[in-house]
Amino acid sequence: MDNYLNLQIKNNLSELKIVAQAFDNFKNFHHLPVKVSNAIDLALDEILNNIILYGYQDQDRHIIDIHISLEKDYIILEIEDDGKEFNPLETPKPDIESPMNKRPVGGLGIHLTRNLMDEINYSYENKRNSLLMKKKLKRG
Amino acid sequence: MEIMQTTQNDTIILGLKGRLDTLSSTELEKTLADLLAEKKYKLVIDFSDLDFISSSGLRVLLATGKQLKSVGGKIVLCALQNHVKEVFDVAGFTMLFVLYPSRDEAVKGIA
Repeated sequence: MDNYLNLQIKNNLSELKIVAQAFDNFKNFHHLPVKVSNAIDLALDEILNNIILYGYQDQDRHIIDIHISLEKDYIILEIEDDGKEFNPLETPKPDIESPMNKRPVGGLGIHLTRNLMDEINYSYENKRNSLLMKKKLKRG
Repeated sequence: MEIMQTTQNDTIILGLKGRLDTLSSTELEKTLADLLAEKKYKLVIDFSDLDFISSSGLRVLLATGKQLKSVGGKIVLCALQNHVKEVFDVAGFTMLFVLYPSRDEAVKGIA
């Protein structure tokens, strides 16, 4: 298996199953530490969920590009879509302190992704959103 | 994800296996809604075989926790793997739920 994984999926939640399965094979093959693979797994579920559910203003079929590459010290995850311009880094920090009865339900996906990944960069070019995320590889 | 349901006295124990993500969280949501409809208000969720949780899973747990609180019920969780616990910590969920190290302790704790 190569040091990279490229996937193209349709904007349909059922496609998340294909992504999870492909990354499961990748992480097992490369023996990724669980903390690292968990961060990537989580970012994939959260970001793709957001794009598919909220990214499009039409009912058309769209393609989302996913690139994962294993470098010497980092694993890099890049997700690109042609949905509406949306910078997840500008979303406000959710309430993570209120007690049960006052805690709002939802809005945690981007917060979790930001905290589990080591670096996130957003760009919007040629009508495409691109989110580039890095996680340090600490093996052993 | 697989959900294995067992009953001990008046407590329902749900053992989750696999991934609790965008796709599978609807399954857990339905199981929990059915239990609440049957007035099963004491729930233990066993996380020992759960390998992954995302915000979709947290959403279902929080919504259920709120409902149980409003009817005087209880939900406790047990045996979270470290990387799953990390997600709870980052989301501020560790303070919302009572977490036990093992199923036995959770069942004793909720009784």
